Amino acid sequence: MNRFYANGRERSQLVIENFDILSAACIKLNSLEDSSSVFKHTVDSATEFKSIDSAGIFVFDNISGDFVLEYSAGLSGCLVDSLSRCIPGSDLHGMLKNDRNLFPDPTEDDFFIRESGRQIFLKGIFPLILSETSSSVMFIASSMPGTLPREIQGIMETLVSMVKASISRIEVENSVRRSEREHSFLLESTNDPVFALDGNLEVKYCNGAFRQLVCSEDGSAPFSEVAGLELTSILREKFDEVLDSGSGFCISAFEYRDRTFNVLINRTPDGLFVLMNDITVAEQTRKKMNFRERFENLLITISTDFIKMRGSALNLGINDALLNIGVSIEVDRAYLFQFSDELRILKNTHEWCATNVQPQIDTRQELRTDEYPWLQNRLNRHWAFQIPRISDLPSWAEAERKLFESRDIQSLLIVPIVHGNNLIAFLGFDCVNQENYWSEDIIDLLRVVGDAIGNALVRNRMEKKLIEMYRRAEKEAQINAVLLKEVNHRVKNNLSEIIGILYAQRRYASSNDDHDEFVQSLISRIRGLATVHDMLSSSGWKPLELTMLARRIINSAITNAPDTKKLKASISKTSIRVNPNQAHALALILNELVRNSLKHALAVRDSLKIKVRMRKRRAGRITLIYSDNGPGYPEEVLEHDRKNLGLDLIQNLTIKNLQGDLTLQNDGGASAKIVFRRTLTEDGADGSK
Amino acid sequence: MEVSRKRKVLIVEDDHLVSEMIRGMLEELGYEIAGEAEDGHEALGMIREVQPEVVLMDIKMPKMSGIEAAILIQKHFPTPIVILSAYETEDLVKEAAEAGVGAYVVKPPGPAELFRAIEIACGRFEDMVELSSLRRKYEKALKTLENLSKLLPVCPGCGEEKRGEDYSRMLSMYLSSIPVEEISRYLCFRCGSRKDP
Repeated sequence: MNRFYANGRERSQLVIENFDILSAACIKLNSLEDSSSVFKHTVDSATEFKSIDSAGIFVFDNISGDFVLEYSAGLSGCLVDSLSRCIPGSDLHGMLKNDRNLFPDPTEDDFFIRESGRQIFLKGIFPLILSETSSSVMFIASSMPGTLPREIQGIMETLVSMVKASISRIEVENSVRRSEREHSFLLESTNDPVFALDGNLEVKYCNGAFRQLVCSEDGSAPFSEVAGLELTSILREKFDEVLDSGSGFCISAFEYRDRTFNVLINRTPDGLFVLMNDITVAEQTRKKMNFRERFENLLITISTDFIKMRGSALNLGINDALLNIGVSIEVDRAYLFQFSDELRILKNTHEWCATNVQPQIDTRQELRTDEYPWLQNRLNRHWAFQIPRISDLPSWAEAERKLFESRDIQSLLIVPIVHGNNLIAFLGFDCVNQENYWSEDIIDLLRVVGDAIGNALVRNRMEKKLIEMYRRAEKEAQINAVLLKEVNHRVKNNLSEIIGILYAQRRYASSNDDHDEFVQSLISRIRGLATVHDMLSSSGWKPLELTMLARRIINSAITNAPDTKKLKASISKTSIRVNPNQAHALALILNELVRNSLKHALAVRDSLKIKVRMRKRRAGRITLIYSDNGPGYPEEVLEHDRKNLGLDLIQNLTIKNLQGDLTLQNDGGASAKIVFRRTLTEDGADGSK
Repeated sequence: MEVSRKRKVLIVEDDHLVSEMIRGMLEELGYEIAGEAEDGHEALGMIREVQPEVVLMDIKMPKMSGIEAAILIQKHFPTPIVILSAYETEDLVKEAAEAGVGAYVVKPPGPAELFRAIEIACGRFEDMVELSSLRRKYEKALKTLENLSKLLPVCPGCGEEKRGEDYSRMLSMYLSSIPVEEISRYLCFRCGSRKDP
């Protein structure tokens, strides 16, 4: 067995020299930051020790099960090649698999490797990393046989320990670095502002979101300087609360720069860790959802209420709905316009205004739609539309722009109300204090309200029409019932009068009378009755025009005249009207006068002229003068010495039925003057009043 | 068909031809035409003058309606009234009945119908006159009985005798209000059994 050193002095010297190398190697190892450098430096350092010519580090290949030479020093290129892979089953592989430091005792036959006659002896094997996933083993060798001095073994073990410690340190440092990187990545990648403060409330760390929020690049300064006064004033109290409280954390919500944060402040050993969770979007969504829920409930209530509303209750309901909607969607004015006259006229029927906003309902009546073509064009297409800024209206909406601006409107929302396919009204919402924009959701919901109002309006209109029709029908039925009674009454009276004529004719008849003439005169008188009855029933028993009455009666009476005689009737025109009873009596009187003329005048003449003149006199009195150009009345008739049925009827009808006066005279023929007082009602009320 | 006794009828009708009809029918039936008036107002004047036994009257007339005239006739000159009208509503019939009308005939009536109406109205009127007379007699007897009960000398309730100046005065006053002959008839057996001359 060869011995390197013979005595203690040499050995001490050996220790001192190698210890310096060890110290330098350890210092170097402590500064290295990756395991490759450590391994490389370790094999380099190992070969600096006395008795060690070469060194290397095998790394176990988990796949093949081989040990692969990754690092080496002091080995020739050929040796490195031949040792590059140590396969399982070899002696060296068996030794490398050992988990302890080995210091084999090489003899001349027990060399490590031989190359070109040169022998290399294995002096030591040191597992550096032994784990399930990774395994590294260092070896040292020398061209000299024999066991390593114990001092060198000790130094090598120290070096290996240092290597292990360095690898552990590097792994820990890598782990910490990786962890820091991950934390940093996480904190930087979050959109929520995060920062850490020390006990003096100096910012120790802040992420990009925080820097962006406070608009500061300074990440290491007192919090008040970094965050500014506004955020400091909000959070300072909360910091103190957390620092002083036993719980060590606090959660609180606040608004800052139009954003809403839910802040979590946690006390750490170094100070405070603060996470400002930006809940702006969530808050907005929540508010939106709440608003929608409330609005939908409101609309359901409104729509349900409208189903049972009628008349004035509907008006109150619409006003109430405008108020509730106006408040909910935060407008200054809400109103309802209704169309009339085939969409030509617009009328503001209902309006709600916020406090201090001028009502417009009184000035928005009877608007002509053709004066606002832009607005009407959109409404005709049943579009719901909004004008967020009135000044943005197109040039051809000049009239609308002027109208809106005159009412201080800044933004406007219009929702048409359509029933079936007909535009009947629209809902309008004004903002006068600020511009506004309404979401499609709100517009859709307002359409629902519009539909409900539209249904209620149409139903109300239909009900009004039905009531009107019912009343008209009722009135017509009443009128018909009255007319029917009147017809009945008149027919009975006419029948009574016919019987009266028969009795009267019988009374005046004598045995010498011609039977045909008796019948003819009877027919003539009954025809007179029928003519006036026809006229009165056609007029619905209303006052008749005297001229018309006289013309009809005279024309009817002269049809009985012989064709050989010439007859001419002249009737003055007048607007005088007489009541049905007076018309009836006058018709019978005229009939008798014409019959008289035909009977007596035509007996001696071939032609006859009949004149009827009517005049209004004072105190509602009417004068009717009937005359013909015949031979006139005989003297005994004028002196009342002779009577016949015709004259008796004329006289009695004038006195009894007309309560008037009759004067008979001869004035170029027979003339009868009848004066009576005109009454337009049958009970004698003066129609002239 | 002809009436056994000629009743005097006043016709009240504003339509001459209807008057002619009524007149003709009444003459046929054998009634006497007491006169013809044109409205209720004229009828009131004529009733006093001609004293008809029955009034045949229209409802709708100028100046005064038949119903108004009927009320005044029954008040001042009670006479049977027959209404002759082309109207036949329940209200009018009720009003006529309340005004003291005895019969209501719709125009144009047949002679037999008119006859029945006139006779029924007269019969009812006679019954009413009889009833009025009986009622007056009954009321008078009731008053007498009431006065006599106050003059009983003993109270029928407690049996106490009525004496004193007040009772004597009441008795004297009552007896002085009755003719002596009548008192004698009730109080004297001899006078009471004597027959009235």
